[in-house]
Amino acid sequence: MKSNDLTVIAVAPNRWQVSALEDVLAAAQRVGGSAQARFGCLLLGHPEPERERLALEAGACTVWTLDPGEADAEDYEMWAAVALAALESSQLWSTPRRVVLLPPGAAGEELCARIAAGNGSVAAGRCEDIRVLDGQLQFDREGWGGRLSLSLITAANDLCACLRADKPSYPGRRMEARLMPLEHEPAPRPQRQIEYRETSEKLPPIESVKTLVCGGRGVNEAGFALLERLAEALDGSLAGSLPAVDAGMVPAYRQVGVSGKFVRPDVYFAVGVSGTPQHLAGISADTRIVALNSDPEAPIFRVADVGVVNDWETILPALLEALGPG
Amino acid sequence: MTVQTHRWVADVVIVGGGLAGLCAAVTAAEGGLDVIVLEKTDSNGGSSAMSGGCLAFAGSELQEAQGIEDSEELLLQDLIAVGKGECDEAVARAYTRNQLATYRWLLDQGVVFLPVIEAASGQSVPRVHNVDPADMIRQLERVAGASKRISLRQNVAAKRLLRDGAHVTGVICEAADGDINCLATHGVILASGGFVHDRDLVHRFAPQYDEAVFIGGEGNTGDGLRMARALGADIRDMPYIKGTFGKHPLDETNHHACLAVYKGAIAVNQEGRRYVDESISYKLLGDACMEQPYSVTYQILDADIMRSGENRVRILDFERRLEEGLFLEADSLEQLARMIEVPCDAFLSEIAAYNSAVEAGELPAFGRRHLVHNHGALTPIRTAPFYAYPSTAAVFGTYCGLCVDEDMRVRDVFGEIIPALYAAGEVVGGLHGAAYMTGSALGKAAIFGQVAARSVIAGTETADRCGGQE
Amino acid sequence: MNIHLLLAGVADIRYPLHAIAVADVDRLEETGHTRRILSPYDESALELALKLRDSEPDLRLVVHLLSGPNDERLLQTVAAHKPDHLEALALLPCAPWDACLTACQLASALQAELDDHSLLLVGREFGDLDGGNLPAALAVQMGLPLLSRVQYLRWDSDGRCWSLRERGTQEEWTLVETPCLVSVSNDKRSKLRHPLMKNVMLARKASYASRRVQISRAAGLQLGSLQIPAERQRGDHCTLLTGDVSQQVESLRACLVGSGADVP
Repeated sequence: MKSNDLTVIAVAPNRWQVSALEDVLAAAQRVGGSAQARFGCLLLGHPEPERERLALEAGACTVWTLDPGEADAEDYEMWAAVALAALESSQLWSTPRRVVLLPPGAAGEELCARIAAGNGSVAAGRCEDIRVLDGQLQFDREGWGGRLSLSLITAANDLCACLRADKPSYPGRRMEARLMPLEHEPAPRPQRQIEYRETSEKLPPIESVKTLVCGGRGVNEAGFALLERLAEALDGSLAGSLPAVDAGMVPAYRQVGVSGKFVRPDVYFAVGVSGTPQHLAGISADTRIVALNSDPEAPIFRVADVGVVNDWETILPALLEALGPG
Repeated sequence: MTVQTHRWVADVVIVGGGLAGLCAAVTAAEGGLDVIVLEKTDSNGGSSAMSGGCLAFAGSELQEAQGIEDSEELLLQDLIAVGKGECDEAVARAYTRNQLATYRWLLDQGVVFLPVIEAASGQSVPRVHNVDPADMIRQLERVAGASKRISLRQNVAAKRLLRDGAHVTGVICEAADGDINCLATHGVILASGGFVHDRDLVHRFAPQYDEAVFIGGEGNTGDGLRMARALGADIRDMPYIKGTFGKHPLDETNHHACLAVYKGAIAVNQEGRRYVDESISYKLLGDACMEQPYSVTYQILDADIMRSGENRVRILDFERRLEEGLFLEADSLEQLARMIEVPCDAFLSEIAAYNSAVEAGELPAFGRRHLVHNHGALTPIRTAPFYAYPSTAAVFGTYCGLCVDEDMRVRDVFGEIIPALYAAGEVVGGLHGAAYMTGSALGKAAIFGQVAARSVIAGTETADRCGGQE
Repeated sequence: MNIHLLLAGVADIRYPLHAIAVADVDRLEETGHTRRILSPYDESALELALKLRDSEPDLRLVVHLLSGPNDERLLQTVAAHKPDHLEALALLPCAPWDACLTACQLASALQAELDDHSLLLVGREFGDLDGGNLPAALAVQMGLPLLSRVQYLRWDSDGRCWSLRERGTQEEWTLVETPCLVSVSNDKRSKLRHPLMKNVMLARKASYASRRVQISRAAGLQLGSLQIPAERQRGDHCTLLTGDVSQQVESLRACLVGSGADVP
């Protein structure tokens, strides 16, 4: 595979969490690295010099920026239209094959589907290990609750995908790297009628913290109340596994795992989490996992760095006590 | 014990790895016999592990510590009375005579009993001894696993009994790699449970339960019963398969019934009509429910009755079931009628008639006087929100089966012993008769498991005296 | 308003997976005991449709179920909730891993059924093989606005329908204007109710419509091979904290506060 066969473009709206940009840069390094392809980065939204710097330091050859003006972070239709306009005007489409990467997660997957539908490329969606084999783009996708992995092949030259990798490295800015502003006036679209109400939520998003506390099937409502206090005391946030979300312990946007979010905290404190492959797939490989579970046979102990075999009922109140007020 | 590719040999072969099978295995090993336990599914425990963990014993130290006076004789009287005199007294005596020894033996094996004794229907004095059933199975598995004489084999299904003349000599069983002859030099103990999961067989004896919910170990398909019948074994108590009212027909997580009627709810059928005195035994409520259209009725209650639930008692724990979405909730009785699709007018007039009778101190239809049995005053159903709990009967066991003598030796249809064939646990008929006492079903698994094993040991000694075995 | 609900079903994760093999570049062969049930997203979408109908009994509910293994059971499960119409959609070829093709097939099957008053509901993932792309791909294909990952739907006192999505510390309520596609996420407010036993029994006796949709696509996604995913590599051993509760708590505190610090 020659380096000039494939172009990789990482796309991220600036209104999204900075972790989304880091995720997609890591994915671009992964695809670019295995295919020895160069990658570019498309930043959508009001210019953010710090993000441009991150993309350049991560090794992007070109960083395009495009500011569509006022924009809601979750107006995917608009972001897709802007991304499509930018991809059309960008000059990097000269290689035989192109892969556009969106941040992993539900928002990125939606954007991925819209961009693919917009320019006729193949939507790979949530996938792993994108590669070129025998002149064809290939990738893997896990299905059936993470129990089997399917390799998929396309004769098409353009792929849109969301790939989960770990943290990006920052080898430094390339000699030839450049910053290139693009222009595009998005077409006006009908406004939706939206009302906002405050909730009792006080913890930050799970993607943005250094310490993440996560409760699983083994924790009840009283336990989640303790976990919430713990998350506050640790200046972190609170997540849940799929069963915990199903049981209504935490809202769906706090779900970690294949169908939830991918997180990269420094420490992940898993309480009453059994440790299914689908859940573990949502945690970065360089995150330190600390597990508390009453079942010594729980699979979580096979991947945790530190483990405590005990009941949360016993440990959590004492731990909160030890952490002291505030 | 020698193990060959397509032939296994032991002194005694036990079919089924539930409580009866494990108790029989450990007891036989204590008596110096080599044992193979064949379990059809991939784990031991069967229905025993899924049960409520209640065992009926009389005269235990636990009862004594709580000042409860009980005796073997009182237990026997109760068993016979509960069973309406339909039980086999010899089998009931086998239970009462051996139960205290088995209770103490279980303690010796490390089984932990909770420090409470509960009363249940049909017991003159409180005598339900409680265990965590899954823990009990795990503990007995550990004891069996530690014995060099016991081989526990899962995923092996017994198919047929082998015979040499009249003598039972082993079983043909099916394992992953094909059929195996599993030979028993001193006897086979059938501890294979009942047949709650063979609906055709249930239908033959108790067709009124076709639409009931059956709860029990997945392996309970009547294998032991069938194998013994093929050798001419006699059976009894078959018409007394009974269900318990109050099971949500579609709830797969809670195995226990919910009895809001005992806190003042009424039961209505799909026509919106009451059909029974709701204060009678939940077994009889089960029978009455099975006669209604679709074999499902609704327990109807109001906010006051909902609040009167008792969260520590499984059958009265309404709040948790409400959280689990098992109750239908409505702001008015009209809306509730719509949600459960009963005719609104009939439903409203039925409740109005019940309420006015209760308020006037008169007897409502079907002569209901109390909340439950002779206890508690009736209350009207008035305060919104209103709730409906869909309910059918659940059958937790088949309570009937093979005829045995007091030593658990299986009898044929002529009343003669089938040599070297023994039975224990749910596959045994004759203990319960027309109805069963709480704790006697799990109790007979442990007690009869031990009795059967001791019979095999005794048979060995006889054989030894005759010089028949090494 | 009328509601069209698209359901996919997934293999029940409580049981071992049945046998699946790649039969051809566009066909999976599923054999053995296939236990297909509604996914949590399917169930939530169905429940939201039923909730809207509870207070608007005249609302017409049409359910389209993706055809696949054990259709009959799944159709019965859905029928017990009494939709006004229920059909199985047999996609030819059925390639649920290819969102573009599947969206194209579904759009062609549904286009004529929907009108200006239609609300199309779909779970936020469509079956076992969707990489999260199907709802958006379908919205683009059908030219419908999409409200994604909706957690709840309700009527207001003026008879308007609002959709809820939680965003950080806010609830976002968006007015639902038909025609519209709503992709539904699972939420504690939308756990699927139990149907009435009467309707479960009636559903067992009913028969169901089935429709075939035959559309293929040249440069789509073809099947390669199936593998068991490699277990993710992590640190090779776990340090179990020993000692009594107070010692365990102290060690825990140390590794949670001083992130990356060595375990004492």
